[in-house]
Amino acid sequence: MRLLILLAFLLTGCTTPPVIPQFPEAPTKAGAMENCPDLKKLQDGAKLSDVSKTVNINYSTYYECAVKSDVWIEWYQTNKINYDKIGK
Amino acid sequence: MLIFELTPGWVFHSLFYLSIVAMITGFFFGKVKFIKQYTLMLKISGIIGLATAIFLEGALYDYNVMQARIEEAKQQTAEYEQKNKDLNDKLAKKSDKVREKIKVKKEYVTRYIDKEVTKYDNTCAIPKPFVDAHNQSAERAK
Repeated sequence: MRLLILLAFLLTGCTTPPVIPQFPEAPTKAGAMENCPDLKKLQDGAKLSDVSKTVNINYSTYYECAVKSDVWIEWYQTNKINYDKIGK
Repeated sequence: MLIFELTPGWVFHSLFYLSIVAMITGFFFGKVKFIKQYTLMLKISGIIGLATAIFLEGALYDYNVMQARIEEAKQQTAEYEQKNKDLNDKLAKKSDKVREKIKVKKEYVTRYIDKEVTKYDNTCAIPKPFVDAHNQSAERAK
């Protein structure tokens, strides 16, 4: 029995406590966690200037949303490089 | 390993040196008057003690190496987390800058529309199929 207890003490060395980095924080400050809004639609009887304005707003919405996508791409690429450096 | 967390390192070193002393005494000074009666005990305890001490010294070395690695990994992890924070700040600044440019451009185009395109509002009628086509394109895919 004593031998078993002693062995149990010695075998605890086989378990190494792992050091796992925290899951990287999302770029929320850059607005990357917000969903892209729906595009604006035209009203019936819209004038040419309304069409132009709606197109202008929708293009701006697209480019604002593209910023989020670009943020995520850069965030992933940089984090991957930094993560791969751990343990080397 | 729990045994190394609870026991100070000098205990294992002492066991190692005491075992050597016991073996040397048992094997080389076994015929000395006061030691003679303990020779066998010194030899056996010396051999067992030395074997145990060598094992424990090896395990202690391994434990220390592992602890050093864990500390290194902790440091690297902290650096990684800091880098992530810095990256997020950098991305926030970058995206704010781009958003500002988009906003300025949008306002500029709106002013241009108000000034130039409105002139053609009465000359160009927008047919309903055009409006429908635009709205269908603008609708999110479900």
